[in-house]
Amino acid sequence: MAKIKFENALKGLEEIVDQLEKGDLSLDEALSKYENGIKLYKQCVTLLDDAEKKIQVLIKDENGAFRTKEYETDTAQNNE
Amino acid sequence: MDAADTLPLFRNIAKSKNKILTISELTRRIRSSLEQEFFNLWVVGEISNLKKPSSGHIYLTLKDTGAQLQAVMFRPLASRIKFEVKDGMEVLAFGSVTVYEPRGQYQLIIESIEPKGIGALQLAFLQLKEKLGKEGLFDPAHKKPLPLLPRKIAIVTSLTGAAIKDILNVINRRFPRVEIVIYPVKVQGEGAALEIAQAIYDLNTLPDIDVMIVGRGGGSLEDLWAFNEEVVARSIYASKIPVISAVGHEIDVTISDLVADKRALTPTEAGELVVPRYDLLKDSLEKIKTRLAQALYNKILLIKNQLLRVKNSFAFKRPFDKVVMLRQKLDEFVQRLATMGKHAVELERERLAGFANRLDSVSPLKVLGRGYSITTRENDVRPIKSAETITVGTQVKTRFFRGGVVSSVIEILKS
Repeated sequence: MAKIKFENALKGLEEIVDQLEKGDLSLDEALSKYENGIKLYKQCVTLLDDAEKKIQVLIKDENGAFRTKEYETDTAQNNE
Repeated sequence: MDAADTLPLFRNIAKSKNKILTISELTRRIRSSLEQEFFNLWVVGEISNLKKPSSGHIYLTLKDTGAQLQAVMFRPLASRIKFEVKDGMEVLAFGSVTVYEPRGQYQLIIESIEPKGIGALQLAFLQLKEKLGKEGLFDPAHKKPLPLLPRKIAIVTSLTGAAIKDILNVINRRFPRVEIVIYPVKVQGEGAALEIAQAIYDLNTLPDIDVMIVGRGGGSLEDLWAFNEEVVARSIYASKIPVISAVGHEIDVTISDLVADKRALTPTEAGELVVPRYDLLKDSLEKIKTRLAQALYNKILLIKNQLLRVKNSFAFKRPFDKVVMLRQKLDEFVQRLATMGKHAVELERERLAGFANRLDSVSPLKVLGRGYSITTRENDVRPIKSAETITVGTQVKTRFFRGGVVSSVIEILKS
């Protein structure tokens, strides 16, 4: 998936709404703005809802390579 | 006058059977005498003649208005001084007096030194703050904005501290579905600063971290010290990933806080800064979508009114072109709306389609097609409705279904 930033999509969407609300666009322009706006809205929703919850601990081995393991709340508490 | 009469040292020597001492013997005796007398004591004075050769030892003179004292601090101890020792600084020094025999000089061996009137760590903080400030490390222009919606968050802290739990709790409450990677480090004690700096550097080599939190929970100034070390400050400054510094409580301001792109007052606040509230964001997104649909709806109403005005005006200069063009546009419009499948728009599409039919039925084209014609003055668009409004000789223009004529009036017929 192309890496589009949420804030960019949101900003684009807001700009389109502003332009549409000003009302001095031609009908063609208004329609294509609307279509773009819907596209950006869908991108925002995707970015907002598609993520997964995941907590990992990064471990660096002697050779400097990284691996990860699942973070366990219990482990952390026992160490205290 | 005999020297022996005035100098007690010589008298003592004289008493010991006139023994003649070598310089080394004498010096050694002076040394042991001084070392016993002036052992483990504090002195106060001003630093001058400060020398820091590459050996790592520090040589200096401590003085006040009446006297001066040579002093030295050896490398392992000297390297542990947190603040920068400078000429002219008033200090308290702890140590013992000894004699440097090759030169016959007495001097203070300093074991610890601290600035007068201010804690050593406090001074170190102020000095580093000034130095890094001059270099521009706190420059607001260098600070990177935090991403509004990070996909992957890194946290540099201890796995066993309170901070990690606070941060995770808040993130989970605000925006649960996000990826988090914890880079465990020592947050206090020997080597902590280096570990933290290395972690920040390492995370910058990973491809997908959007933002990182660096911090720990509350503690004494000593506990928090790693976050006041230059090496940490420089790695934060060099980070391409935005850094949120979250060290201790609100009252604890560290160098890390000043360099970071954003300072969180506490680890809890770091959790609040790093992710938005899901429900609020979702809500405002829906609001924008509503505005978008409303704006288009308003636009459609506007166009509809324009069409109505055209219909009512019988604009006659080029009535066919205009009407045909608008019809075409409307058809196109209706078609495009149909492909969008949004119900607010759907509804409007049907209303517009009905409207298009009505427009068709009143089109002048249809009327003319039935054999009627329309007459206007040559330079006017309004149809002539009464013969009384024209006179003989007036030039008039007549439109038929196809084409038209311009003619001159030769007779007026009363109805």
